[in-house]
Amino acid sequence: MVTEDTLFDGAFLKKLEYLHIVSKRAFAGQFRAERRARTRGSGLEFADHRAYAPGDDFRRVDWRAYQRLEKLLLRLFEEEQDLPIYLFIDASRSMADGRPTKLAYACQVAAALCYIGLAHLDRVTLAPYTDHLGRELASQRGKGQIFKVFRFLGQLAAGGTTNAKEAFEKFCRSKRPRGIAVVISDFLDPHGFEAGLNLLRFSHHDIFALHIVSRTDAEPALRGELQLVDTETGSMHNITATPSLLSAYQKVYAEFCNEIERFCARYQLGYVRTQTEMPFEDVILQVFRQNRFLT
Amino acid sequence: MTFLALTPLQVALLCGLTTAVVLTLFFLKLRHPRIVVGSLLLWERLLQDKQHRSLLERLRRLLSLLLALTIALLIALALARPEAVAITGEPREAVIVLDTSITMAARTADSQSRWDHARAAVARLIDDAGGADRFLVADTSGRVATAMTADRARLDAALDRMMPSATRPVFPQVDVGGREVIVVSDGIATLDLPRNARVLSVFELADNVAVADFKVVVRAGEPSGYDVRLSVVNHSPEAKNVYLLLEDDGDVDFAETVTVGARDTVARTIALSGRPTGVIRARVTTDGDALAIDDEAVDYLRPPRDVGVALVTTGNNFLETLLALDERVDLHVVHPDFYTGDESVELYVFDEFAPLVQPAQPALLFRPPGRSWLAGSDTVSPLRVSMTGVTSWDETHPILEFVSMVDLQITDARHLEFLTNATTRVVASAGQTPLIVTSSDVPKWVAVNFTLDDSDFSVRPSFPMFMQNVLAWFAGEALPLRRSLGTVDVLLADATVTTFDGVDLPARPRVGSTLFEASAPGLYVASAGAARAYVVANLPTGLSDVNGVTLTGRENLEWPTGRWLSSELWMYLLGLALALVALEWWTYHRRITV
Repeated sequence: MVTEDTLFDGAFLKKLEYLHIVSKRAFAGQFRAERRARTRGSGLEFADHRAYAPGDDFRRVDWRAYQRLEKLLLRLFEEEQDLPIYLFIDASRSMADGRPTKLAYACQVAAALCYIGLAHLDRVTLAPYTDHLGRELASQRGKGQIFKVFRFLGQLAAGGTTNAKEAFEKFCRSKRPRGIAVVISDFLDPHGFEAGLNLLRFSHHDIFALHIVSRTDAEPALRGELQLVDTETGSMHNITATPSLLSAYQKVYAEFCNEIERFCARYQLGYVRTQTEMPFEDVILQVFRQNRFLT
Repeated sequence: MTFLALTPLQVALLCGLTTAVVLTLFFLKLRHPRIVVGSLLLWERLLQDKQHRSLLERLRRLLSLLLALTIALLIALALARPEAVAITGEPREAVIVLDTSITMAARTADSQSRWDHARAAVARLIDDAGGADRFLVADTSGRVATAMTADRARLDAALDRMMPSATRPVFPQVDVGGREVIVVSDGIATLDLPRNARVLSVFELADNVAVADFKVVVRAGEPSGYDVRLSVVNHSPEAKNVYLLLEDDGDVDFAETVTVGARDTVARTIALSGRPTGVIRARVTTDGDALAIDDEAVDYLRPPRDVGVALVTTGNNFLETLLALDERVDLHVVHPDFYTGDESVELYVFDEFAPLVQPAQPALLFRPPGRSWLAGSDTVSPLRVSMTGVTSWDETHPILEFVSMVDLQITDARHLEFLTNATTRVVASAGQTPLIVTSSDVPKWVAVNFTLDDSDFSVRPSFPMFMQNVLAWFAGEALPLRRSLGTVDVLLADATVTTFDGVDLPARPRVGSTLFEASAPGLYVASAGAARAYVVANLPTGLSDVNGVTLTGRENLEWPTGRWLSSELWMYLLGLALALVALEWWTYHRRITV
């Protein structure tokens, strides 16, 4: 069960409040918040002047400028709106692997990101997925919603096969406002990780891929004659685990990680790879900041 | 290809069954432990990459199965003992006869012996032969002979049982047929070889000096004195200085060094001082002697024992004088009219007289009348027949030991019918007329069915020996038997045999006698209850000439080649199976076949 107590202490929360989720693009929000929007509006930060036109709110006339220039100029302020943040959490059965499990780790990271988003009045949506989009936790705003987030994450359980394309198709069809899409997954998708990410990309979301890696995936401790069983599909394969085979597997796994990284770099998607053995505080406070996902 | 152990149908069934078992076992091999992993996505990518890299690697998966199947089929075929003429050639058969005469024990220049060379030569012959070639090995002592076999272990075991012995060599009675015969010999023994026999000679010139003859005899005209007659022969190609040594119960009686010319003989008659008893031993020593067993000979003088003898006669000066001259005999002459049967003597000598009741002591009877205790002789009327000589006699009987009956003239004898059995035996006869009959039932008796007056027995040199033998046999102390080295037959049933020093020897009982092996010159004692027999065993004369070659042969014989393989095919199949097992082990551990 993911709870605030088990996840975060007070000092950590304080640090999180100073963090922002960075979007490479500015998106149109629904409510006033702390993010600049493309539109000029009723924010606090001065943006520009323009000539007064009939019908304008004369309260925004800059009278000091009129004294100097004898022209009616209107003061323009940057509009500050909220940001839609979509957290996609891979809840397939393969995420139950590792110690802690990849899913638990994903939930911890997601909770932290949620807190950051909520603290800055962003609209945070949690969307677990397997081969379909699971029950979402719809847009939440404000720190007070964090407990709802915890409860939601605490109820997440790994199960089912992975098919990100199917899951994201449903999401994209539902005409969501564009925002930041954070995909937290091990990306062991039999149908390929690219298809799902491409769907989000084509929907003009700002995508950030968080690759969760467990040691059992990267360096399996296997030895001898074994029958490997796929936890998602149940398919089996006989192997004789020898040092050379394991070495070859590690190369294949490294190549797989590099593929994801290359894909993200090619399409300017954010990418962070983290191991479940790494304390997630470090991931939040250091890795994400180094990768400019958080500021 | 033919199969020696199974029919082709059985071979086919065996191979089919083997294949089925191997395939079943291969596909029923132990299930691997299951490990659940997050995804097989990357494993499949890896294994597909590894397995489909080349055609060879795809075939490699079957290599383990192929190896297992090949190994099992090779073993199955080996069990069937296949024979391929194209590979192993036509099987051949040969009889190998090893000469086990005593000269084969002669030492050679390389410190081995002719026998060692013969064994090595036979081993080479067998090793060079094809696997299906069959041999029969036999020796010339008649002790060891195998069947015709290709089993090398049996041949080796037979060869191990062979050894040179003092038995007179004869060609073994084996079925030679049209087979090749190879005789491995030093060529000394005179063997009646088949015409197709080839001789593989292991002869090598050797030095040897031997005791040719050794005998302790009573000195002429002095019954209590003894002489030793010793002959020493030099079979060497050069003259030899020979040290002679004569020992009487361990005491040196005589020692002398003589020079014996090449292939010459030196004879000595040595007077023994005092009254020697026990083992008399002669030894010859010389440099470079190749054969030790003929360097020694023994004889035995029985310790004298006084014996009381009652001579029951109406008057026989010859017997009286002969018995009176014997120092050991305490003679009592009794007239038949005064015979009571309770005289205090150890034995009786009846001259033309026999009491109605058998005396309690052993008895020697000369021309006895028919009596019931003389084995039913009273059932037939006595007959008088005219005789001219003894036609048959048993030289092995103790009372006829060294007693020659050749040309013995008998003018008159009484024909008595004896019921012979295991204890009552006719030991000398003239035609159908028993001349000397013995009974070994206690008390023993000996019936001589003629008088000394009716024959020339009493004037022959063998008569005192006969009397000595009879007295000794009655006393249960037979004179020492003089036998050749080798198998000795002693007329004592279920006897135990020891050397004179008391070392037990293995003995084989036969009906009424016991066999044992006398392997070295010496005195052997056979005991059965109170009865004892002393056996003096020496090397027979004429067996020690290590250079007297009568057979010549080649020094090397080669088994005909033309075979690819020197052993049976099944051995190679098994060897190949073992090699494949090693290959399978190697490929398994190198993860080539997994």
